[in-house]
Amino acid sequence: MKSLFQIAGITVKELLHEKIFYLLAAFSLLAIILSLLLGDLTYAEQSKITIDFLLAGIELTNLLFSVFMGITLLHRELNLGWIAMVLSKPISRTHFLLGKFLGQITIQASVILFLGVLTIVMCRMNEIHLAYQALFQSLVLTFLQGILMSAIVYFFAVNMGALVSAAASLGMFALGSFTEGAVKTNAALDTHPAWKMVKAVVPNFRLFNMKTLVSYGLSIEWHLLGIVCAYTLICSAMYLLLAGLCFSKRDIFT
Amino acid sequence: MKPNEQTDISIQNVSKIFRTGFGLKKTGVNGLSLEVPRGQVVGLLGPNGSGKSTTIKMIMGFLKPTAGSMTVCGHAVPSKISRSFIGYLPENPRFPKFLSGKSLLQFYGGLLSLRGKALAHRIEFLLDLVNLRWAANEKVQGYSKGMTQRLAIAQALLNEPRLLIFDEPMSGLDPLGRKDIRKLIAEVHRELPEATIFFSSHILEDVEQLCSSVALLKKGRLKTFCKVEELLKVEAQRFDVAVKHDSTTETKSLTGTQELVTFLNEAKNKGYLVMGISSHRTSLEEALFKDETVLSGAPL
Repeated sequence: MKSLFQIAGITVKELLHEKIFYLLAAFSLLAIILSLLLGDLTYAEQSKITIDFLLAGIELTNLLFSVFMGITLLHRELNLGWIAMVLSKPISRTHFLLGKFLGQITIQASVILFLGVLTIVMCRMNEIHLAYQALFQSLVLTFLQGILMSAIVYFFAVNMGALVSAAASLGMFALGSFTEGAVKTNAALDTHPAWKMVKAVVPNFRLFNMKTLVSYGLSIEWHLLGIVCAYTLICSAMYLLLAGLCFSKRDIFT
Repeated sequence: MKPNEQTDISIQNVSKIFRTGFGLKKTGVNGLSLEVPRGQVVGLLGPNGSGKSTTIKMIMGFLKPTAGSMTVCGHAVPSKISRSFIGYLPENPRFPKFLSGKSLLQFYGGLLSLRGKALAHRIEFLLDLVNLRWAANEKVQGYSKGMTQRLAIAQALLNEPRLLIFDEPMSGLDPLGRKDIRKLIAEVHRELPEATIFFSSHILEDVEQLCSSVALLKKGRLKTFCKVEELLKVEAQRFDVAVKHDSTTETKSLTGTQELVTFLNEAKNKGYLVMGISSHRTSLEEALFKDETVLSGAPL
């Protein structure tokens, strides 16, 4: 177990030395500034639109972080051969993956926390009213989405090349976020076998979206948050387990 | 399976076939069987593509054998327990560049469950052994190839392993660097006299100087596995004798001491003057490849 935390620790250090980390951080700051500007450009509901954009910026940063950092972390280990040094020690490949995953989500949690604080500061400076409980719940959901997305990315990244992994992961996110809405407009689709299969394999990412509620100052029931939390953990564990199994079976050319 | 006290590496009829796409296959190792006894320094020789690195990567568990089985110190491969006996140096060791040499050793030591003062003392000792104490706090990014290689040897020795596996330890080094690493491996053998050292190389001079036994691979198959001295005995020592008679000097090439003694007696009886005798010791290269152009990869 200690080795898991050691790998997580080194992953945190690794990410903090990553150029792409700072690029994403810069992107998120830009998104926050743009949100404030876009809010100002609207006639009505300025504060609601600003909050919506702010949270969308955090969500997008978190999504990009999950995909690109996850793929970078795993593929660089494999391509540069760092992994040979670690896996030559009495460490299982699943432990290695989990350590990397833990390190990554630690950084993601810190980034979301930082962006959350920045959002509060920005809203206060612009005299925008924020419902703190709703904001907290929204940030927790964003973090949970990051966990699930990272687990999916790890599953694809241990099996495929970098580009295909990124495309497949983003494809899963798109399916899980937008298909439900499309089906609602066409009830006949709901019984379609293809849709049933998609529902069985692709997590429902709409569960993590409460941006509109936050912009109206509304929070959700805590037990619902608990259910989403359990859903995230089960789905993530499933994807990580599959990733671990595939990774244990594959040849590693270093 | 109970640990075998006599054999550190046991390879039983192992094959590795790589899929190269479009239904094509390439055989890396073909029905290899090898028993490496404990405490020996064994060189794994062979030209490029002979299966040396594939064999080592299978022992380390990086590659899965297509057929056959392997054990390390009596434990099935791949397993965490089998790796706990091994100190491994890959062909091109690479480390996360943002860490210093010392931090890396602390990290790898942690993975080996070494902690506190024991780890700190071991790191100090190894930094002295590999002569890297002066650069211990520098980031690995600034290390030369030789320094990286020495750091990699240090990390392989952290847990005082019973089995050391070095994949082409002298690869890519200049002659001075090679000499340094050769000296270091000899020191490692002195420091861990009970440990088995199994290393691959295609530099015969290094193998001849360091190894007690050699295994020769060709096209994924084991061609020879024997002690270096036995191999060198196979071919008798050669002598060139220069003799002078009737104002002419003649050089005669002789094989073996018996032939030399007979010739010298004859020369004495005929009244020849022996001008000089030079002996030629058979090198490992000559002994291994006397009938083959193995190093060029040409067919046997």
